[in-house]
Parts: sequence; structure tokens; C-alpha cells
Amino acid sequence: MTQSRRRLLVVATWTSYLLAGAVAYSYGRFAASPLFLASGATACVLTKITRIYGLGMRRAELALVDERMTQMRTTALARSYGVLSLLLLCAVAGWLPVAATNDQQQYLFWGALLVVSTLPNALLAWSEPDSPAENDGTMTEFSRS
Amino acid sequence: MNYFSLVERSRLERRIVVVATYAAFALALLLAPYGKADGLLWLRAAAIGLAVTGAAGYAAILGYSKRFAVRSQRCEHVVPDEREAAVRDRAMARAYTVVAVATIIGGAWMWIAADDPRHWTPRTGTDWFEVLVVTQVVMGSLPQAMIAWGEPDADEGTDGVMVEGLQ
Repeated sequence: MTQSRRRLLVVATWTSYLLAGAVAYSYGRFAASPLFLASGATACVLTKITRIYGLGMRRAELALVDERMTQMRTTALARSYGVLSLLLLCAVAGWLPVAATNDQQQYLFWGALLVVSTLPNALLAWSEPDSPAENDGTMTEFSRS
Repeated sequence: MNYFSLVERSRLERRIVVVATYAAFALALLLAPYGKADGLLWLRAAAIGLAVTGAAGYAAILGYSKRFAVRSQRCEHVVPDEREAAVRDRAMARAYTVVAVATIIGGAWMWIAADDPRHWTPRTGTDWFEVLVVTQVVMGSLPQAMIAWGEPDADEGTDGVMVEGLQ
């Protein structure tokens, strides 16, 4: 998968979640369910294409991941920590105290789950450049996965 | 030796400082509400003392891990070597996993317990301020605390094996 498509996938995952919130607020949860499903589906694809870096793997499987991939995964997790810190502080200082109803808290819970489970994957998918073979039409690690 | 620096301290001493720092903050938060009652001024003083102790430990932990450039990965003044950068990234990756799990558990608790007054969830402005302080303290020091916890003693090799000649 090319870098532009991967970036599109990242944007689609989080935009559909935000849109789902807006639709649920205006028209109810039932109307927003396709967007929630789309967000979940794109998150699954995002997780699948970045699995080659070892995210979500068991310890025994991690031994098979090469050194470069391991380093990229660790760097992505380290960068995710900084992003998550900022998001959590914003959430505690601003968003969480105003979530009064059970529906709003449920929406924030699914948002937290989406963010913490896809943030390193999104950073990897966003930043990894296209390999030269991708332009030749040769199969790459991303297209194989 | 600088008494407020952890750089020359053994691993055991660093671990004691890490535990004491978080324990002091936790106790200060627990005691603070009771100190508002009349006649319990000493409790308020104890809470303030614990908070100051926690802040001193917090500063010591941040000072110890300064050379790993946890906060300023692109800072030109602090350039960690390859091993230090690897230690920093591993600590931040572990911290991310811990915070991710805590966020999911906290979010689930908020959702489940919010409508039930028998269970504690932050409701008032003071509660949210306390949650904000805890978030700030934990997020600002967790990777550094993990580094201080795991780094070997000065007379050990990086893999924990005693270096010859220093034994």
C-alpha cells in the first residue's frame, strides 16, 4: 500500500469516528452506526498493515521481527507517548468534565479505545515512506500484508 | 556528592526514591480532603509536607534522566548516545503500554460507574483538578521513573554484569 493510501486510511479512521459523534448527537445512535462500523473497519485494516512491525505480537513472535522494524516500532511507541500525554491532559482539563450523560461517556470511552489501540499504528503508517519497489509495481511488505 | 542528585546513587536507592515519590503524592491526595475539617490542621500540614516530598522526588527523577533526553528528543544541548536513546525509547514504549491500559480501564470505569453514586467517579471541580494533577505527575515522569528504576549501577555493565576492575 502506498504512503498516500496509508495516510488516507489514518484520516478515514479518525474522521469517521468524529463524524459518528456529530451524527449521533444530531440524529441518534442508530444513524451513526455505519460511521462507527467504518471507523472500526478502517482501524482493523490499519492494525493489519502495520502488524509487520510487531505491534500487537506475542513475545515469541517478536523474536522473528527484524532489527529495523523493531526500532521503528519502539520509536513509534515513544512518539505515541508524547501525543497521548497531550491528548490525556486536554481530555482531563477540558472534554471529560463536560461529558455529563452516559452516552457522551460511552462515546469518549470508544474514542479512548480507538486512540490508544491505533496511535502507534497510525504514526507508522503515516511516516513510513514508499519503498522504491512500490513504484516498480513489485510486491512490498505493505502490499503483501 | 550532591544529595539531591540520583546520578551517583545505586539502583536500590533510585528505586526507593521512585516508590517514595509516587507514594508521597498518593498519600498527599488522600489526606488533603480530611485536612479541611476543624482541628485537623496537622493533617493539612502533613499533606503539604508529603506533596513537597513528592515534588522533590519528582525533580530528582527528572534530573536523573535528563541525559536520556526524554522530554526534548530533538534538543541540541542534550545528545544521548545510541544506548541511551535505545533505553529512552524502550522506557517510553513501556510507559505507553502502561498508560494505554490505564486509559482504557479509567474510561470503562467512568462509563460504567458514572450513573451509580455508590462508586467514586470525579464529579466536582476539585475532583477533576485532582485527576488533572495525577495525570500531569504520572505522564510527566513515568518514562523517567522507568529509566531510573531499570538502569544498572555505575559499577555494573549495561547488561547488569559487574565490570572487571570495578568490582
